[in-house]
Amino acid sequence: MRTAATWLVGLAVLGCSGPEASDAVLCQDVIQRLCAGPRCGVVEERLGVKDDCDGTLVARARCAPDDFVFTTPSRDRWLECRAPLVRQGTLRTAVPGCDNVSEVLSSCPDVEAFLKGVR
Amino acid sequence: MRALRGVLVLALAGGCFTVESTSRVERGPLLRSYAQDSTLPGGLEGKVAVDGAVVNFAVTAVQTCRTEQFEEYAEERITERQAKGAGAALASGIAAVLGAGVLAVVSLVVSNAPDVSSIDAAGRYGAAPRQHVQAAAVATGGLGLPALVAGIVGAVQSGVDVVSTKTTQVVSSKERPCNPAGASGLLRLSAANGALLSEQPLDGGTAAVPLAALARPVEAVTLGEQVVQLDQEAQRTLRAATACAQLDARQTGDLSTLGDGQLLRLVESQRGCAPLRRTAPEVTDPSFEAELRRRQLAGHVAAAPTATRATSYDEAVAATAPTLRFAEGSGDLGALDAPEPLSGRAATLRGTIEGALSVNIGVVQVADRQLFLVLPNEPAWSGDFSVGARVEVVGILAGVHTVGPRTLPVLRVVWMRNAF
Repeated sequence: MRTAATWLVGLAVLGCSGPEASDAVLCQDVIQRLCAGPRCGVVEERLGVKDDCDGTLVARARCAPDDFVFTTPSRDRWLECRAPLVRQGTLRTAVPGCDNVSEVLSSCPDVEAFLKGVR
Repeated sequence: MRALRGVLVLALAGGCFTVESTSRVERGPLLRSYAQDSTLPGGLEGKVAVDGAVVNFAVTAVQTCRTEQFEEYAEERITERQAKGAGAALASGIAAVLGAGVLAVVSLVVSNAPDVSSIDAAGRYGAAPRQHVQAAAVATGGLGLPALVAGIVGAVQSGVDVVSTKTTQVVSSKERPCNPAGASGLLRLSAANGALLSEQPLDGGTAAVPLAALARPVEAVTLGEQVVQLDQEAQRTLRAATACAQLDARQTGDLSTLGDGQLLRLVESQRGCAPLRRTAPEVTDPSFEAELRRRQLAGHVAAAPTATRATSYDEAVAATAPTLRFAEGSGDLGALDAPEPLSGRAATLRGTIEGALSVNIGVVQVADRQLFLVLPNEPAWSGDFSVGARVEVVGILAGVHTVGPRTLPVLRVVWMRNAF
């Protein structure tokens, strides 16, 4: 019976989500959400970006290659800090609130440092 | 274990429904009808006849023959079991399982590519359309399969059982006395206090009892432990025989020396014996009635004759044995020209109530004659005896009386009823 229940729950979960996104896609997703316009002032202030926010941050983070893999911060830490950015929605075109952006940058200095290119 | 699990699941599914069971019996066609005879224990029947100074008893032992008519029918006992909701569960289960199957098939032709336009908090892409359809199929099947199982179990439990039987019904039953045979044994006649009056062996079902042995009223006639049943005619004859025996046992002598009670008993015996000895001198002797009337006029004896113990018109006729008949066209009416010699004689009368002089004295018109009717204080009969009522009366003539301007013959009423 337990096996059957697990099978049903698993099917239900699988029915709600697809495969894991790669680390590169996750990295670029966070950068895309931070830079989505209208861009929050705190992004420019804390991360020091102006034009071509996406390109600048991807370059600093060096996560453009498809084989990029998180080390520091780890993938789990990255997902933990990303959580406020998906509160407005999981669609990749969703624009997070500036309070969510501020929360990420203030509560995740390691992510902020990673996006500044500090290793 | 799997089999046990399956059984448990089926049992649980079956437990979801309350199985209602209703039974009814339907009668089929008549198969046959037949009669069945049986013989039951009967009893003893007695006849009584008086022949001079002997009373002959004829006792017959009879059985009861019963004929019963039976009808045999086919009968079907139908038991219907219905699991309420089983049908709905079965229908929804089938629909859901079919829907799940359709969804599963459809999922094969739907894209299996994940939805890359979204990434959830766990870092996963959105589910592929095929996953959505498969999840819907699983959910639909998960709901439909238990309903389907429960519905099947309920449907199995539902059903109709028909048991065919035969039933027999008694439609009529007739009983009649049968197999009469002369009884044998010792016939005992007992008085009211149980005293033995006579004991005679039956010979061929008959026994002759001396009339003199019946000077006291017979209360019971028995043969061994069984009571001999006497019909009304036999009982009347036996009472009359007792009256005759009492009359025969009277002491001759001056009537004036008899006590009032003795005289009343003699008069009663004379009247009671009349049906057996209508013309015998001891019955027609008017001296007893005359002496009784003399004492009644003198106030010694109660006015009501002893025959008032009659309980019906016929019984009053039997008790008084009327020898006169007063009715329209009757030849006896002429005798009323000189009524005094008729005193003490019983008569029947058919006439019309003309009026009432008091609570218990009325005037009755018969043809062109009128008579006074004297009623007892508490008559045993009832009816509409208002002026103009047509009545039939049994009574004892009691001379002539004068009330006011009328002097008419008197008839003391023993029984009166509305008639003709």
